[in-house]
Amino acid sequence: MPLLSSIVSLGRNLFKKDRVEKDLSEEIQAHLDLMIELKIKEGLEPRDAQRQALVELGGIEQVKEQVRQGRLGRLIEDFWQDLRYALRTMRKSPVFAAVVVLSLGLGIGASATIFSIVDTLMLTVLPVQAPEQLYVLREDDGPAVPGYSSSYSLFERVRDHSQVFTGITTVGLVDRTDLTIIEPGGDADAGAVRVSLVSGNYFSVLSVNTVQGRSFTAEDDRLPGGHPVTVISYDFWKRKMAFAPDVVGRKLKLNDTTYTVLGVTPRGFSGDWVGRATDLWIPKMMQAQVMPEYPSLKTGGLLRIVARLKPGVTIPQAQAAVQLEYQEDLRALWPHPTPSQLHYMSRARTILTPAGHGYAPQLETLAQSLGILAIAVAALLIISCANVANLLLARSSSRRREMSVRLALGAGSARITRQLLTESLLLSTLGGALGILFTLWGTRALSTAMGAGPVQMDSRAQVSGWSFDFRPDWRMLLFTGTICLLTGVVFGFAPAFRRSKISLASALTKRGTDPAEAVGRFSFGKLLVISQVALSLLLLIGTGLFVRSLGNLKTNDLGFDRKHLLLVWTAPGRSGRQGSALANLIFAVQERVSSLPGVRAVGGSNRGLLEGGDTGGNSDMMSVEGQEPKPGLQIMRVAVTPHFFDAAGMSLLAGRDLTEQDSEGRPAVAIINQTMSRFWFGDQNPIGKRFRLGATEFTEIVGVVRDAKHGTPRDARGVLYVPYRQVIGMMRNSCLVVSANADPTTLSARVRQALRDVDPSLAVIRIDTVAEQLDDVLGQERLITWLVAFFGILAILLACIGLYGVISYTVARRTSEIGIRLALGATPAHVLRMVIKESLILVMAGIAVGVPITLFLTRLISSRLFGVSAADPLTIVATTLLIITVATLSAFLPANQASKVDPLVALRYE
Amino acid sequence: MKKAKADLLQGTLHLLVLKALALEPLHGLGVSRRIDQLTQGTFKVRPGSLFPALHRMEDAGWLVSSWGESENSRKAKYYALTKAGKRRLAVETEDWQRISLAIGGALKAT
Repeated sequence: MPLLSSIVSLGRNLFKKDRVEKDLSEEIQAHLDLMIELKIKEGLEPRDAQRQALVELGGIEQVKEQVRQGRLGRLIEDFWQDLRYALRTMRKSPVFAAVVVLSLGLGIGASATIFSIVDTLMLTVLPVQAPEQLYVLREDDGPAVPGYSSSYSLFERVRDHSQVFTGITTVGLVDRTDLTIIEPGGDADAGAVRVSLVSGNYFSVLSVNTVQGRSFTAEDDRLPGGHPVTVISYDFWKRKMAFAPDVVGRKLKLNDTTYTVLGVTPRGFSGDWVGRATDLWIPKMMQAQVMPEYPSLKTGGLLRIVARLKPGVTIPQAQAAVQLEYQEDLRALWPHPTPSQLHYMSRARTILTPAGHGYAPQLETLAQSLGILAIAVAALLIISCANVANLLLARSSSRRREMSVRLALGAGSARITRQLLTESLLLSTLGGALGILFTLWGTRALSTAMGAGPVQMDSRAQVSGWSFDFRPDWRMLLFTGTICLLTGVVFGFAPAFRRSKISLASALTKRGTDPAEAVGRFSFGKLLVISQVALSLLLLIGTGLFVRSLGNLKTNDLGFDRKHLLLVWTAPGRSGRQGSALANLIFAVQERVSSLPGVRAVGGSNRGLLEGGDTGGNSDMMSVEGQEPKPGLQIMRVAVTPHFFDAAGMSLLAGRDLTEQDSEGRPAVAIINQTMSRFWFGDQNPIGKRFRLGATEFTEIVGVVRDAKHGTPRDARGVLYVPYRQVIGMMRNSCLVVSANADPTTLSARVRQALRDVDPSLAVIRIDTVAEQLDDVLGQERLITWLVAFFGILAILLACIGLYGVISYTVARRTSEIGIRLALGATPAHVLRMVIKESLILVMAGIAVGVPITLFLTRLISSRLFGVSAADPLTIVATTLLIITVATLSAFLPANQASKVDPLVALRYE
Repeated sequence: MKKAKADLLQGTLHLLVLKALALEPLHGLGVSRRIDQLTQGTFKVRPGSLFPALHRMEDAGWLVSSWGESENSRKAKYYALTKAGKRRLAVETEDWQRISLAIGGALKAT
């Protein structure tokens, strides 16, 4: 069989080289002998015969080489030879190799890490059938980002009346802490779980099957409270039930309701929310059992509507159909609309957004950060590659003689190019391998860092922090591989291309180069340094701006006491209490905690302090008596208990505080913050003015309080504070603010015990301090800042290495010139100045290019900055000076070397 | 007889070597003499082309080689056709005939 025998030949050629070579020699020798014998037989003298035979043969070695050339496996053999040679060269200059591999590794690692995140968030497709047909309905009520939450009544309307979808379903996520797995040998506490409440057709609309048992059908979602069944995720089955084979039919207990497991979803499907994996799916009709704090299906904002578009229906058609139902829904909600409700209805739209990539609302906040990081890593990668190219160029010129000798000895120029390519590919492959290691480490570190987040009372489902599973997959490997190959080929080719054009004679006889070539190569190296300086300037200025913003955010006036507060995040609504029972529980808790020794004051609120997030309604939802609806300010309503302002250290500027007497049935009152007061009333006194929200009765303003940061330190919302007893439904989740006489952390255990004393079933989500909360809220900003700083420092380091390389190379090439200068009377100080001046020219050129680019790009991040302008002169000047200093230092080494040149040696060397 | 110095096309060389070895195994010099004979001296195969071709064809599995004794009791490497080599000869012969017919026809056309 030819293929088999070819493989045998290949093996023999590669691995039994000695025998093959000996065979060849003997064969050619035998051939020669035969020819000589023939010639002698023909009557020639032995000497003549031998000579003629040799002439006819054309040289033994030449024939042998020709045979070798055609041999199978020749390329592989050459490649091995090149590889061994490359490894030897690397060993000879380990510093060079280390710098190249490290800079490529860092560049590739950084970009592959960011790519992994983008990949996970944006490019991953839900493992469902035809994901491109899936859309999520979003309510767009004007200025802010459209929300994702919808109402159950809208879902019912669209499901029953619209013809544009093949299927429509709802899903809502909630975190619960009290799940028990009922096992034959005793119950096991499963701890925290994430539950998706879904309508019965969820799995059929998404086309997700089960690996065990069955999923829901419409029959499993008919009667409120009547379907204690659940489908669990593969991951939950693995994590909490150890792949129990009898999983179908097992029981789980959640909030005193026992659910039967119907099935397990396939591996890889963990709901449609990217980064927040669902553990259990439970029919929507079980909402009152799963979320006792929201027993009514009518409660808005708890679900998303996901629909599968009918093939052939366009998005505008579907949007128009849904819009019709949405308007109907709003009219049913407000049968007698007020002017501001009419205004809202005229503006509110429903839009369809593709949902095939999964639900990833965090993308909207993260997209900008990712953009910034992408720019940073791209700059870093370019710097790394420029460095590698620069080093390879500089080194290739020091290897001119070696190459010329090899050319003279008969190596083809293609062969030399191939060898140089092998060397640079080896370097880039090693760099890539290192890059993959950095990526593995980087993605793990990043997912940990991004997993942390503040307690958010705003999201009713109370899910915060993301658990991303950044697994390096084949796409990441493909990405890294492509970069490796590109850098290897592109930056290997540049010097290789030059190399093969060398003029042999000039390289062997003189050490200098012909001027034309020198100018070309030299300016390429200079160009690389200039771009490196420009890019590191960009990264460092970005770093400076972020660091200053972060500092400003940290020290910004929060409007409340930073030092003495303990924040106790609780969920009293989960006990199922409502109305006055809930109010009394909250009152009892406050009374109990304020009696603890060391406690100065206690207050409660449905929104905490620094809980992150910045959502709110538009101010035109509010109608102030005697004024037209006026949009333009984000507003929110916060329920507070009496003493909240006192406990938090927020000073009341005018009017009175709220009291326990401001209860249900008493006139509605509110306190507004300064921002709100200024927005509506300017310099006028707002006390006694009245307003209403929607169709409610008029509310009277009884006080004005200082602005405080309920969300982030950037918070600039207008706030209405209303007495908790008048809006008790808002207090299902609430934050207790405990003001201590001394260090608040010492109180933590006693407060927890006090809460347990009042009601053991009261869910405490977390207890922390303002400082910890601030850390969490600024987590993402800090992460971005440190990443950009890390990249910036890497960038300037790499740029310095590049500069050092170019200057040393110049100095080495100009040794004789410097020698002449010294011989003619220049002092070493002159030479030092001259070399440093030349490097400074490069740095200045880089800065001149970099500053406009930076000014252009930092404008894009101005919304992320806080208390510092995007063109902050201080940052720009300081960074520029830093770069000049560092660059001068790195040019000093070769410059110093140049000034120590001994003219005699330098001139004789020539 | 005047010797035409025709350069051998790569494919032609393979075909001639296969043809030369079709009758009996030969050593290198034998192959070149047989080709000389077969083409009535039109093609002279130089060792610099012959040996690379023989080795390539062996690598391809068309030939096998073995050490043997030459006609005057000297050590020499003999090449013989394998089954694949015989099939190859048949295929290449057919190809060649088709091509030469086509080219011949083309050249005759006015």
